[in-house]
Amino acid sequence: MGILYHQEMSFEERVEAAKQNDFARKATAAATDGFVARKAMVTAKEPEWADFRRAAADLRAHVLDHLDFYLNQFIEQASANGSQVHFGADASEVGRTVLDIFERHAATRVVKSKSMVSEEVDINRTLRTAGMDVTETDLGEWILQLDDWDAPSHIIGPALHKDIHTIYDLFVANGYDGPKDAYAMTKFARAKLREKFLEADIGITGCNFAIAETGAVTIMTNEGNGRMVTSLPKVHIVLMGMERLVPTLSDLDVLMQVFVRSAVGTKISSYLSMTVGPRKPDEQDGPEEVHVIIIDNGRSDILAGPYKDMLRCIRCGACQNICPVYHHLTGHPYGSIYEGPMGIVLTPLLVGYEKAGDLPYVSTLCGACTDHCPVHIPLHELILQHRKDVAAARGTASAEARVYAAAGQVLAHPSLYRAATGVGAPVMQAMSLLGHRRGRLDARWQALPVLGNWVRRRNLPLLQGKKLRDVMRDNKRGDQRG
Amino acid sequence: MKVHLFSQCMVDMFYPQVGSAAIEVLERLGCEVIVPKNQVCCGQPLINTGYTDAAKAAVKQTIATFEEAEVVVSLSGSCAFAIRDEYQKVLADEPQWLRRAEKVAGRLHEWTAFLVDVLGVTDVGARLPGRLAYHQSCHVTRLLGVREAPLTLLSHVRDLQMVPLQNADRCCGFGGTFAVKKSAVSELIVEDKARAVINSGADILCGADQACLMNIAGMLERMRDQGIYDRDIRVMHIAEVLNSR
Repeated sequence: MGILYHQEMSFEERVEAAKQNDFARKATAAATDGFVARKAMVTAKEPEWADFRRAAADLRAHVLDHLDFYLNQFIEQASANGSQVHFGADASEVGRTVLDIFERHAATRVVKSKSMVSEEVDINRTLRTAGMDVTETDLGEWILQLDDWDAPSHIIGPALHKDIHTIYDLFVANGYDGPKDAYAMTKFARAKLREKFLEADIGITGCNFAIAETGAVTIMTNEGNGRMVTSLPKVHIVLMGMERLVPTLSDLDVLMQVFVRSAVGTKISSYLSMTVGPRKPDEQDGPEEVHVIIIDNGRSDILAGPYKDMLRCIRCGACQNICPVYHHLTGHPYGSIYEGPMGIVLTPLLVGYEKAGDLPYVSTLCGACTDHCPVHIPLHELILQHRKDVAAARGTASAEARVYAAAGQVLAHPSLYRAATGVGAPVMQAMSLLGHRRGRLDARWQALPVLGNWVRRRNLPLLQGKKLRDVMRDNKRGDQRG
Repeated sequence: MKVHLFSQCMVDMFYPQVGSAAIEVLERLGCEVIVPKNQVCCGQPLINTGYTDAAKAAVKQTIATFEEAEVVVSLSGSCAFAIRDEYQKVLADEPQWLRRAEKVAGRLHEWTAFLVDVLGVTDVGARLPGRLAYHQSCHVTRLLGVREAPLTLLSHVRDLQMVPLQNADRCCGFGGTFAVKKSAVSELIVEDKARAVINSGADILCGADQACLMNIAGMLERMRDQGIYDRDIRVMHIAEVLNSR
């Protein structure tokens, strides 16, 4: 998929399309509210929750400060236990490395567990273009695949936007002949995916966290598909963002605790799969080869700059769940596989302002994301930082910059302000007389620039002829000294 | 106590009665209130849209207006946050102005926090019969950390019944320039907030940030004009509620 999609539509067009999808809006609202409520319930009974968050945040910050050390340690340990470690500077290098492995094994069939970084480097397109049979095995991802590789809408629940009728139709088109019932349909999916697991040549996973001290890679799933992907095929390829490291196994525990609570509001994930190299001579199962591809794709640049804290992200989705914008928009209007607050910070860092410079404005800066982030990423501050950098990149000559510069002068000088409001008040008065509502501007004025965007669906009060400062002056109240 | 009031440009322009109410409450509590006439706007619409340099004129004007004051009280939570926190980032490259900004920041209080934490008052002697839903605005609640003061003050208003508001601390969707730059999204969020107010059964919507109230009131009024509901819901800044007798 790559990072961006639906780019042929403008942001406003994507919002309009999302507004038509009543089911997706209700499902997203219900799911995110559910995750938030469950997390609140679980953590309310845990007085140590704040300490866990602090510890997780410090741990992530520490690893980022010493990333070279921990990467080196991980590579040594992973190699020592038989894994083959590769580097992927960018999407095309990752693609080439993966296809090389396929070629060496004459492999054609691959099963995948859910991996955001795999979508980031568009590995499915690379594999399918090369003629490989690719099956996503996370149920949500599989459903998206059946729908012509539809885009995910939530980092934990990618198919949130799909209702049972849509899913039923997709399953029927793929051989299902049972009832429109979630249990029966899931059993069908399970049977279909089981065939794929058994016949796959290669399994590709992401990596929630890699452990530096042992060279292990870990993934968490709720469905057990991760277990299958990492143990049935002969070859296991791990796609790992270079920042997804913890120093030790007990550090993994800290991050797991905050991850599952923040992601879905439970205390434990159903499955934790830990891979420590390929099958040893005395072991019964496991892959014969394990390849770990450590992916940069812009991360080392982020590490060196003011957005470094974004690399602490553990991809839990808590910020999406609490964000009022995401709640109402659902995922697709963002046009990025990374949605919500973490998405509008990360996406421009990965694809640049030309392609994603508008995303940092899809936020009210309400700060709920920062409040909820289990690793204390100052998300709303990073969103604001992007706006400053976008404005600086666009320069002072842009139309918008000049409007704001002018506004900045009016809002700084009492005499200019007095002049502007002195004109504005009677104008608005006259406008309101032409409308339907006394003392307000209503939808009659929706064609006007800027103002029109307010009055389309909200009434606007009028600039007062007597402002507070005039009342103060008239009442001889307060200090009117300059 | 002599108090310099930062009224907020929005209150000055659109809701002078809110400013008057806030002043009356402070005076009744024994404060001498100065309203410096050189204040205009704290500059946050520009800061929050990324136009830091263009915001500097307004930022400096605000600092210069208030830096001789011993006590500055802001009627707006979002302005208080801008002055207290954002100004130092805006002026990071101008050490002299930075020092002056820090001085003002150290003397600045949000209005409800000033009443409770500085004046030590929780009961201002107000009376207002009605059912009140309180919107916990983002800046006051999360960014300034003022969670208890407004609720404490409201709890002592005679004959006033507080009703729970669903998702009270969820953003109202104003977001400064977001309200017009991304209006399609803003509308979705404020509509939800308005529905929560209607469903709460309240006849008064209250908050400590007039920008939020302007936003929610605008939607509530439009919904009433369209016949979506038909009872009276007054929208009052907490200063107006506390000034009621």
